[in-house]
Amino acid sequence: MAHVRQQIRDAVATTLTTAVTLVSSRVFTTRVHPLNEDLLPAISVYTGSEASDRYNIGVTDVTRNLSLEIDIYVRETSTFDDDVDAIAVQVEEAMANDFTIGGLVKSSVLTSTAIQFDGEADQILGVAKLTYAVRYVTAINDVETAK
Amino acid sequence: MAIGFANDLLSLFAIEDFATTATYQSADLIGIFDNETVPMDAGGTAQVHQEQPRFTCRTTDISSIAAGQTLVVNSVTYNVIAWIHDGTGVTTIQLEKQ
Repeated sequence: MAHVRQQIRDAVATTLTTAVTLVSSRVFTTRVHPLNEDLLPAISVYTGSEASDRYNIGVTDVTRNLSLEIDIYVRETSTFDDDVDAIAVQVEEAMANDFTIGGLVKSSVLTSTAIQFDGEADQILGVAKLTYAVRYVTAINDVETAK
Repeated sequence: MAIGFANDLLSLFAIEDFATTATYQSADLIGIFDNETVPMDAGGTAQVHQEQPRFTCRTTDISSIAAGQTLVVNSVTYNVIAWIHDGTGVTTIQLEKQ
């Protein structure tokens, strides 16, 4: 078994691969290498910072608040911002329809969306970064099983 | 220092060297076409490698340049997005692939 954090990341990627038809299954996890333009539009799922604390006095569970980021990469011409939002619709609805990410988490809530553009190349590049606050619980001595 | 004669600039855009003939607004336009692949960053964790097409030519050949005009190079159609006059009679056009 893997760390629950990895299970969450993989589960989100699997959900988006099926649900976000606009990216034609181009969904990556923790993509850090550059994307060539023939791979766009695409999505990459990242798990960033995580704060954790004891769940309750006398209990050996840990509650974890994870920042899960979903990057949407698009290159387009004049309809660019429409395309970003069209993909965001599919991402947000897919995430909302699996609020507990397959039962791994207690909740996953979209907390911010940041969209940036760059127009220096042959087509406009845009990235939408959707950040989710994800809360999950593990035993203090078993981080491979979600509670 | 500005070069005084537009014809002198033609020597910089010799077809037998690095220049090519494009179709600009249905007419021939001689210039140098660059299409370097560059890493672009728009705020994502990963960069994106994209082509960066530019066409450099005499300013006098494109005196009526405007955004949205078309330029065809090597059978690929581009739209004019922006341009930079360097002040010496040479202009570099930023292109968007259609």
